[in-house]
Amino acid sequence: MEQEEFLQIYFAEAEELTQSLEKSLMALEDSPQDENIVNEAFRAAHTMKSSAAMVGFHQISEFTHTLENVLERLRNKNLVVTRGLISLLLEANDFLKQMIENASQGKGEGEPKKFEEMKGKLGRFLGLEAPVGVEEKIGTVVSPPQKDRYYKIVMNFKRNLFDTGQDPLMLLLELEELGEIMKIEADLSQLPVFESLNPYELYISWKLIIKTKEVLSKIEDVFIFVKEDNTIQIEDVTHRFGKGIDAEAAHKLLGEILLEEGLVLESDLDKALQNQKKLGEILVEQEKITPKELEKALDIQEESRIHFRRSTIRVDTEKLDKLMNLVEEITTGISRLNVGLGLEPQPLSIHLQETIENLDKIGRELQEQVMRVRLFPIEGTFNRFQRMIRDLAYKQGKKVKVIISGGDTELDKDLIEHVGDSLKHLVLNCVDHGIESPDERRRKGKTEEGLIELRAFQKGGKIFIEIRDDGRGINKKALIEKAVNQGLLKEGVTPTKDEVYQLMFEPGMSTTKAVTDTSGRGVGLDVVKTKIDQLNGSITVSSEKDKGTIFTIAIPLTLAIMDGMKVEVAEEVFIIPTRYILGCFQAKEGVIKTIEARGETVNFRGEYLPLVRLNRALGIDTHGFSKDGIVVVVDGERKRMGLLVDDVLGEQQVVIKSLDKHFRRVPGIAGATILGDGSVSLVLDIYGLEKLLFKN
Amino acid sequence: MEKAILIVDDSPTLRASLSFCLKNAGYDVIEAVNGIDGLEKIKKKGEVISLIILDIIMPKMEGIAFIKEVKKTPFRFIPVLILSTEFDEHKRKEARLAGAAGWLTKPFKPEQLLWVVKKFVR
Repeated sequence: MEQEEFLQIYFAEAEELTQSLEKSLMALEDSPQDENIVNEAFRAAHTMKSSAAMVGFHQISEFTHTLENVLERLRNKNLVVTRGLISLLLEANDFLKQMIENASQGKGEGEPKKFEEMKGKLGRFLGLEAPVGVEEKIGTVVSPPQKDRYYKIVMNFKRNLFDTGQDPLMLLLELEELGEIMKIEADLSQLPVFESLNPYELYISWKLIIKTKEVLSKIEDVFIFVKEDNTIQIEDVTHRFGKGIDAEAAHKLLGEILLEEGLVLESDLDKALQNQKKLGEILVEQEKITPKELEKALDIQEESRIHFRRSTIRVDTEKLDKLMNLVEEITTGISRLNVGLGLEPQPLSIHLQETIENLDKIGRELQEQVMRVRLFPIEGTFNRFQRMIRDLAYKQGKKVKVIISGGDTELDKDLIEHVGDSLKHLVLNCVDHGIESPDERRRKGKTEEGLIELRAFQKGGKIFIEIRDDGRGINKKALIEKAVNQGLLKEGVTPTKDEVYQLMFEPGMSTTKAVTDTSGRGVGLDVVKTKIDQLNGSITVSSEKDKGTIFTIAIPLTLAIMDGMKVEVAEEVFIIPTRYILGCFQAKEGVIKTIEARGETVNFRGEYLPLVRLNRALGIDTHGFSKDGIVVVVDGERKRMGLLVDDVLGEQQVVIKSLDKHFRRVPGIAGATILGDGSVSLVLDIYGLEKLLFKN
Repeated sequence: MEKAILIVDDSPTLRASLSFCLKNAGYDVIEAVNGIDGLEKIKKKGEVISLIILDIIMPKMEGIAFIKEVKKTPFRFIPVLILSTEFDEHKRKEARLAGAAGWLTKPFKPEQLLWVVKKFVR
């Protein structure tokens, strides 16, 4: 296409636009409030500006830019439409037409004096003189230095990168054009199991070293569209690669390097290493030591190693889950056998009874052992956090050191998955709100580098996870103020320290005003608390101003097994988790009292508690309920309550099966379990029930 | 047709210059005169479109609204490159949040256009 043709298209467009602008301006005079008209005028000026710039009419572009700015102020209601203003804008449009006319005849666009005068007039309607002039922004050519440079590039992308139309492959291809990618590693650790993999999400991050003659800014340009939303670190590591040799390789084992370079398979390497002659054998061959001496030394070594040895194999978690299910079925089968024999005419042969008792014991042990297999050290989770902390701190210009202890503490695999998000939230909270900026820390006389400590340990039947930072601490005053504002706390009431901290976990109590990118997102600590509650855990906080904050989470060793109380309601058996139960008593006549405005209550140790008839609460049809049932007093999240059941059948260890897989989540029900007689029974979720019944 | 680029711009000048540059570089080009037209072309020819070049300020349907509409179609992973002026910093951010993949500042030189386009189409 010839330049001439371009210009023709442009002049036709420009003419149309000036006409449309004129029309809009006149219409605006008649209806100054009409936003659509203002928008139309604005768009016309805007388009004129870009088109003129494209074909190289800079005066027209500059002038329409000023015009556009005035119209923008009109659009934003920073200017009011007056007859005078409209006249001026019309005059400006005429001048514009003239400039376009001039340009089309090959003359200069505008007479300089008139141009400045008109621009000055328009400028008076701009609060500030806006920057004028159009610059090239990208793609500036810098002559590359001739020496080879090495850059280390770490790319961590947002999960939803693909949503923005970006593709990491394109970036890698572009990098490849700039030089030679010496080494590249893909981190697959975030890849979920296949079933939960979303093909539209990105789980992989990359680390690479590129050899190139380009300058840093050229490398940075590759990431120009992704650097704002993703973490891209580019480091000039030329010093490490003097003359193309990786200095770090000096400290590595040969096998490590071979593996990294992909020159050898791990299995081959292992085989080769096994073929290596042992030091002892060589020494014996050379007759430096006797075989007996060697044996003695090896014995010492072996003894010590047995003590510390942990040989491991990898097992697919799915296999484990299947095994677990089978074991549960066996234990249930044994229980059924037990129950069934109880119904047989007595006496049974002692031999048979003993056998069954023995079987029962083995069954329990088997179950426990399989449970143990499901335990994983928390280290992996902690390590992941370490990385996240680093990335977030880097983003916020903070310095944070992470200390991990008790990483070998073992948790049930499900539990790790469930508690992971909550921990992450707390940990990132520490970086976001706890740790101060290096400047602020220096002013407070602290080290510039903040400290976050992740600690896990087991005590009693519980796992404790501590997240400790040495940041600014929790602002108690702000918390109390916010709570009063939110109506969670009466004014003038002085809560205890613990009560204040627990306020943090109430919905709507996030103390930061602005929602921050990471720990904010409108999801508060209340979600963390709910999650931990669901796991039968607890969370406590202690904090001191400018010294730091400690969050301590306590969770049971395992999710799946708990002690429960079997109760009967309308001929159905339900399980109430024992840990909630405060006591039981018979609901004899006179125990249940109806108090006005509070409904039915029972007196428990001098306190009147609301009575919940479980048959009604659970919506079970009752053919008239027995008048003297049993009241089970439970400790809810906020209040105690008495649950009226028909009978208490005894205690049992239960294995909870989630209902979510087959049904949706049912409020008030934690899951189901299989009883000794093979029937299925529902396990009550006390907190859920409480929420359901006492919404206010 | 392979590797077609969809241009959505109300300015004939911009469309012509973009189209010229891209065709010269060997790309196929589909033109749309506004957002509504653009959406129709995407629905019809989405499979062959590998990049959308979009003017952010247009009558009928604004660029941002257009991006949001595209993200509702099965072609939501087609990268969108927006054309803005350097004064549109705010709009640019809005577009990025709506899911634009990149931007190009007007006016631009052919080599700048091709440099950016190459980031998305190979």
